[in-house]
Amino acid sequence: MQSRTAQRGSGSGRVAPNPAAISGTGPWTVRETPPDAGYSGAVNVEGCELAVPFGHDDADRATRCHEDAHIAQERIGIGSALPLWKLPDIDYTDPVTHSAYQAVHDVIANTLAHSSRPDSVAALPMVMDLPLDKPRKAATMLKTVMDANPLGRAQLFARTWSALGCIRPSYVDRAAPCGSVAWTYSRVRRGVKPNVAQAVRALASATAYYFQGVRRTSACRGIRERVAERAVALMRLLAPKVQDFDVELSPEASEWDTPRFVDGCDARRKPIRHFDLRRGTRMTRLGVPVAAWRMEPTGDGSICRLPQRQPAATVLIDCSGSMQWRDDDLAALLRAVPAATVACYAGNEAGTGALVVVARDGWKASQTAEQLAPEMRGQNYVDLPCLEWLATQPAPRIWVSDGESYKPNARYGEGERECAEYAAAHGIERIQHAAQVLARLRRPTK
Amino acid sequence: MNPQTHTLNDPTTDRALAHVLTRVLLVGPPGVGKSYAAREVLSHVTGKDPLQLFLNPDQMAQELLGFYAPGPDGAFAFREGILPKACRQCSPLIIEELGRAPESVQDALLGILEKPARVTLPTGEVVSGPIHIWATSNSLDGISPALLSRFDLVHHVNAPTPSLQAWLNEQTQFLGDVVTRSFADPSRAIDPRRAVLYSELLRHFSRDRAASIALGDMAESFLRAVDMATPDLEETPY
Repeated sequence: MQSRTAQRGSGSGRVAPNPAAISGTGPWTVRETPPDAGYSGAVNVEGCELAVPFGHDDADRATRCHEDAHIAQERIGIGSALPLWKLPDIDYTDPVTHSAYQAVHDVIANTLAHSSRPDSVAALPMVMDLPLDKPRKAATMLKTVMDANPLGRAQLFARTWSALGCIRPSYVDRAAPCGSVAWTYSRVRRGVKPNVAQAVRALASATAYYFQGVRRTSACRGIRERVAERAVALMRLLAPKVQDFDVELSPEASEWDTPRFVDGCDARRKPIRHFDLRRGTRMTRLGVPVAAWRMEPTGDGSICRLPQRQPAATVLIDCSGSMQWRDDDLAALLRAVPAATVACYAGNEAGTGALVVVARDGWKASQTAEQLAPEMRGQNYVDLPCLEWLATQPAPRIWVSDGESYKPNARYGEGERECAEYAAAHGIERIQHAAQVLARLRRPTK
Repeated sequence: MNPQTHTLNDPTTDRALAHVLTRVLLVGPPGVGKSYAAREVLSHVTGKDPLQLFLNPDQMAQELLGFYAPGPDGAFAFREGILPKACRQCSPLIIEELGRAPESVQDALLGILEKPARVTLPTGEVVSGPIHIWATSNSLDGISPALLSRFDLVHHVNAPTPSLQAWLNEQTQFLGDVVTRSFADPSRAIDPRRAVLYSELLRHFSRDRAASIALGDMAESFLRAVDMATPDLEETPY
C-alpha cells in the first residue's frame, strides 16, 4: 500500500530496512507497523517515511519487498512518468479514488517485486492464504472477500489479479486458462468491469518491459509513456471520477527513424565455422561445406552423393531490450545455418538506430553488432525501415521479434500494427525465439 | 585563504585539477574510498606508484625523516625515512590518517608540504623535490591550522568516490550503485568494505549466506536493493 500521507507508528528498529539504498534519497524514517494500524505496510515516498513489519516470517519479508518496490518506482522513473498523481484537480479524499490510486500503484509494485524476487509476491497477505493448487476453492475465497468489500471491489480485484499474474500467469492469461480454472475465475471477474483484468495485465506487462529496459539502457522514453498510458487506463476503470483525464502525448510528429546501415561483413570478416565440419574443411562462398567425408555411397549408380546445400535465408533480429537476444543465440544460429544472411537492428533513447549485417554468404563480421554500431542501445524506433530492408532480401525472410514495435511519438499499438501489416504484405515471417528460427530454417520452404 | 572555503570540483574525478593541485587532503568517514581514489589519481597523474605512509599517535618524527642505526658491520649509519626517500625519487606520497599524527610528526610534515617539498635531515642535508602529496583523514580534528593551510584543497568525501563505485560495480554488478545510494541515509549506510567482503564471499557461498555473513541485519535490505537494481528478467509476469 502506498499512502499519500505519512503513516505514523511506533516501534524500534530491530531490522534495518535501507530504502535509501534503493531510492538514493534520504534520510528515511523507518518505523514498525503498529499492530492496530489496519494495514501491513505503508510508504510515503515524498516524505521519506516507511512503515513495515519488522518480523522475519515470509509475510513480513514479502510486505517489506512490496513497499521497497513502491520506493523503486520513483528511482527507475515510473513515479515521475505518471502525471496523474501530480494533478491537483483530482480529489484524493474521495475513498474510491484514493483506493484506485493505491490499487494502480500496487499493480506496478507487485510486478517490480516479482521481477526482483519472484518468491516475494506469493507471500503477500492478499494471496498467501489462497489455495492456488485448488483454483475453484481459491476463486471462491477471493469472491467472498470481494463481496465483503463492495466499495473497493474492483481495486481489490486489481491488486489480487496482478499478484496472481506474477505467481500463476496461467490463472489470468486469457490464452492459457482452461477447464475449472477459467470457469471459477470468470465468476470472480464477473463482479467487476469486464476490462479491468485486461487493463491490469496490460499495465503489468508494460511495467515489466520498462523494468527490463531500465537494466539494459539508461533511458526508456517511449515505454515510460506506455506505462503511464496504461496506468491511467486502469485508473479510469477503477475510479469513475477521473474519467476525463488523459495522458498528453508528445506533440511531435510520429515518424519512424531511418537506421544507419552497416555491413559488418564488408571489410573485416571471418568464416563461419559449421559445427559439423572437421578440421581443415573449407567453406565455399555460399556457405556450403566442401568435405570428402560428407560424400556417401549411393545406390543409383553414382559413386557418391554431393554435399547438400545449407538452408539459406535472410534473418532480421530485433535486438531491443524486450528480446533478451544474446551473442550465444547468434553464434548458435550461424553454426546451424552458415549460409544465411543475418542482420541485427536496434534503436536508442534518442530515437535513432542502426541495422547491421553480421553474417552473409558464409562469412561473419569480426565484431559484434554493438561494436559496429554503438547507437544500438536496446530500443525500438526503427522497426519498420528495417522490415523494408528485409523485404528486399532473398526469401525466406524471417523477422525474429516479440512484436513489440514502438513508433516514436505515436500511440501505443500503432507501430506494432504497421509492422505486422507490412510483414504480412511482404512475406515476412515473424518468429519469437532463436530456437524456433533453427526449427523453421530446417523445415523445407513451400 | 583557508583551504576549506574552496569550492572546486572533485579532484578524484577531475584529472586536470589533480595535475594542478599537488597538496590535497581528503576528509571523510572510513570506507568511502579516500585512499583508493588517492592512489588511483596519483598513479594516473604522475605515472608512478605512490608511496604510502600510515600515521598513528605513537609515531615519531625520526621514523619519517631518518635516523642512525647500527649497520651490518656494527657501525652506525644513517637510514633515510620515507619523506626524503619520496623527495629523492620524486614519488607521489599518500599520507594516511593525518588527524591521528602527534604534533611532532605534524611539524615534521610542514616542510614536505611546501612547494617544492623540502625535508631537512638530522645530518643537516636538505632534500627537496616536486612531488604530489595527498593526505587522508576521518575528520579535521587534531590537524593543526598551520598544516591545514598548506593544502591546496580540503575535499570532503561523504559517499563512495566514483572510482570506488565503478570498481565495486566491476566486482559485482550494481554493487557500487547500491552502496553509493545507501549513503543518502547516513544512519543506514552500507560500509563499502563490508560490500567488498560480500563480493568475495559470493565466490564461495550463496547470495543469502554471503550477505548474512558480511552485513548481518542489513543483509535483507541490502539484497533487496541489489535485486531492485538487477531484476531477474527470466521470470517476467504474464
